Amino acid sequence: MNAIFRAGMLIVVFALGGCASAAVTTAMVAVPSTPVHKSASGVSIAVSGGRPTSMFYTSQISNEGFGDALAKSVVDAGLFSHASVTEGEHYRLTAYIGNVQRPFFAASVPIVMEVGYTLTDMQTNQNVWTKNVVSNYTAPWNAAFLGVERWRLGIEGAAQANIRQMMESVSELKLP
Amino acid sequence: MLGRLWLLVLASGLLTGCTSLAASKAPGADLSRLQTFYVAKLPADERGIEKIIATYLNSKGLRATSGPEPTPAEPVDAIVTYQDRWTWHITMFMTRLNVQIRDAKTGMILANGESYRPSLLRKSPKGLVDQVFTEMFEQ
Repeated sequence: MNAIFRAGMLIVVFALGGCASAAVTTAMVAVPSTPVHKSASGVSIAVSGGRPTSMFYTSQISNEGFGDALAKSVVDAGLFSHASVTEGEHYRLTAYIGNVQRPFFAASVPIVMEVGYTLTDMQTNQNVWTKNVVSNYTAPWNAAFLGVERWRLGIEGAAQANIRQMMESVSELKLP
Repeated sequence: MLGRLWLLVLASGLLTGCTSLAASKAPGADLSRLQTFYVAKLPADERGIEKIIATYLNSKGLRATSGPEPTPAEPVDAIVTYQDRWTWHITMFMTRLNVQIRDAKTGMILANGESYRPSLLRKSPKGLVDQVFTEMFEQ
């Protein structure tokens, strides 16, 4: 076999070895950069716009994964006293994952993520806060050997930054 | 030699993955009420994709314009933004198109769609625009 053909077969092997995996929930959990206002109220969380991950494409964020990361983030930070996916809480936070921009091919992977949030006071049925949060994160070239893994790390970092910005914005409302 | 080279080209085309088409709508968003659109040109785009999108929307009976500014001069119902990715495999082709339909007043994303097509299943830019918008309006 000549050198070109052998090199090509090596490329094939590496391509097959790089299957995408979904963004990991724990890697998306955010910690605010400054202490947030602590509310005694609970929040219901509903996420849409997420996508399942195909092993042949790039990592995606699922509704469940992002929702779990949101819930853990707001409770751990004390932004809300508790969070659930069922109705019945004082507040309802909806998150629509509207856009996740990622490069087709890059050594360092820059990700831009947009999530549209709406916070509703379920006792008055009034929207108390609505914001399109845009976050950026770049997974460096040496974060992982495989490109598909750097993509996943980039998406997780962007999601974490997005949740952090959301919490810091909601904290300013000083909810009861 | 040539036979092995073609095998390599074929394998690399196949291994770039399968097609992907996905769209979603924000909770409570009603795209049927949107009648006027402005397609904001992506600054890096030199292929006139914003004009292709505007032409598609006009062909569906909607009123759409496009331009280089991020917002239109006249009020519209929605602003369309997009990101296109091109790559080379024998020739240049559009491998991915992401589109967002935004509320013109708030900038909030009402719907988004994405199409990814590898080399052997490539479509023209017009074909990808048609595919993505059809999927978004069907949500």
